[in-house]
Amino acid sequence: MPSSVKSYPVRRLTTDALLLCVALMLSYLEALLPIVPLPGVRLGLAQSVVTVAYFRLGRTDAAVISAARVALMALLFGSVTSLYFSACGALLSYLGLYLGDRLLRKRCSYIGLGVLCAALHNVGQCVAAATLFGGGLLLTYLPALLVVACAMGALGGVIVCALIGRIPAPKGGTV
Amino acid sequence: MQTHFKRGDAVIIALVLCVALLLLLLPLARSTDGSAVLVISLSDGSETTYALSEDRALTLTGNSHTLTVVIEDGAARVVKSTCPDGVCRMGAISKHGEMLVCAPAGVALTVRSQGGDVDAILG
Repeated sequence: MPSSVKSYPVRRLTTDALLLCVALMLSYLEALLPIVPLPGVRLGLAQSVVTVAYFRLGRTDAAVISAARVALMALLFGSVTSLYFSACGALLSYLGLYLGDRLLRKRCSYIGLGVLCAALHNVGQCVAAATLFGGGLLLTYLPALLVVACAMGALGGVIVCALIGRIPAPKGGTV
Repeated sequence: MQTHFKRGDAVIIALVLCVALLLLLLPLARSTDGSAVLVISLSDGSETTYALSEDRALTLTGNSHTLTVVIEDGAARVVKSTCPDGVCRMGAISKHGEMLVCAPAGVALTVRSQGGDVDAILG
């Protein structure tokens, strides 16, 4: 993605739309594949797409791609409940990207960032569940989800590390 | 952001695992007494209560999903469910505040203890 994307609105739109499609496809595919027998565990590949978008296209583009992906997945394959859970997870996950960008640039790689975002994603979903069903839920499911988040987040982070080198950074440094 | 594994990454992973461990250990500080009951909330808003001290098997329905709940040895768990998720089948609950939830069926199982006004007793 050339650094001049932002100065061409149509190009920006289509680039974002393309990444949205990739994120959507990955979300759908990973939901089909039972990677881990535990329920509710996903590879979180769409997170990699949003991360690449954040650091190569911009904060707004990443936010839009993430939000649109959540909305479309819920519209196509989910329900109002799944939209709520998904949105909460994606929101905290994006917060993770922001925090990582602001605080961890020198000390961490995309692997740690991936773990942070995955962990926050699960916290977001558990908090969403707690608002619907009561606080006890946090203690029952979160520990296991957090452990899984380490693995899945790291995997997503490795993917970002491998790919992002091939995408030129925008002029004036990352984001 | 760096592209190779750094020490900060290990720190983040360690932190997340510590939080997970903390959350696991917290319920151990809670007290349970023989008066623990299981409160079943269905999607239609109704609530039924069963004592955990009495072994029994229950069948619940919600949103066209069926769950089989078994109360045994002071703990409750979901042994069978028709929901696609299976999240509800993870684990057994026996302490005050613990919950099992089946989101597709809209069913929530909570343990309540009569003496459970406190979350933890220190010293």
